[in-house]
Amino acid sequence: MNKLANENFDFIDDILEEISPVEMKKIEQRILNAEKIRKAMDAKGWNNTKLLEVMKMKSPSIITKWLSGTHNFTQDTLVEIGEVLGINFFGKEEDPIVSEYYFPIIENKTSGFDSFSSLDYILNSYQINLSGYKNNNHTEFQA
Amino acid sequence: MFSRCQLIKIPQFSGPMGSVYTILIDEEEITAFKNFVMNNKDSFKSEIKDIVGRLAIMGFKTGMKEDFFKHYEGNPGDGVCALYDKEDSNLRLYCIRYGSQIIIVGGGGHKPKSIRAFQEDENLKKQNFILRDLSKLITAKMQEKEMWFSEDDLDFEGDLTIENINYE
Repeated sequence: MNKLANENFDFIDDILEEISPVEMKKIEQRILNAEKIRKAMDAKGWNNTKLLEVMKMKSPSIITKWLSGTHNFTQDTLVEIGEVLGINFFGKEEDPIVSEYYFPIIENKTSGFDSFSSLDYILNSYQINLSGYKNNNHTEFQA
Repeated sequence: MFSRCQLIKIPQFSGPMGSVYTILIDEEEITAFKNFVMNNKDSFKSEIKDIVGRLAIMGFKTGMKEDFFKHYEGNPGDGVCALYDKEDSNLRLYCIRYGSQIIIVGGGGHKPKSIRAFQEDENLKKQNFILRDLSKLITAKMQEKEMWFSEDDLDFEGDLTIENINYE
């Protein structure tokens, strides 16, 4: 066995732990925005110059910056890019919330009409099942 | 620049979309990437966190897309590039990119605004030339079929110790 197998990368775990979920989400979103722009450009057969031209901008370095995965876009810029490329940066990609209602069958134990108590029981017994909703969407990085 | 270099995969950055390797040179105790982090984590804390976060996301979510790297930092066609700096920062990390699936991260450092080219900084120049040499040696080793890409192109396989017999 060579030295490689023993190489210790704990220092990376330490840094990853220092990155808060919000910070990681920001880093991720910058990269995903860049990737989304590139994919849309490829789909249209556009190169950087074409996007620059359509956006009526002058400095080619701005497109390089957008695509680098490091750029912190303003909402206005994303709207403008989305408009020319036909993409939506603000759409939800999460699974929709699934609500399931269960109406129990109630055995009528009263001899007479007892509509209010039965109705209360039904209304209070519904359940909303959120199991289909991914609210914890951040990636876990493991060794 | 070196007589022997070992390629080491970084598990924290390597996922279904790509693998990140770093290098251990000669008798050095720590890898080039660890050296880079240790030398810069105090002065460039947020930049280091950003680089670590980005490498993890590339390995697990996007792959090492061409756009994420500044190309032509080495000799023509050798794949030596640099990870784009965080905006308003000049922390350079040199890499060799093999498609969207593999990168080798070497060393780097801060490129002061006072210099135009990395050649003006001895450390940056050294780190850059190590990867230029390494890229050349890896190409030769692959041609000799001593190392190769895995079937899914996500890994290097074979002998990952690269000897530089011409080094004096």
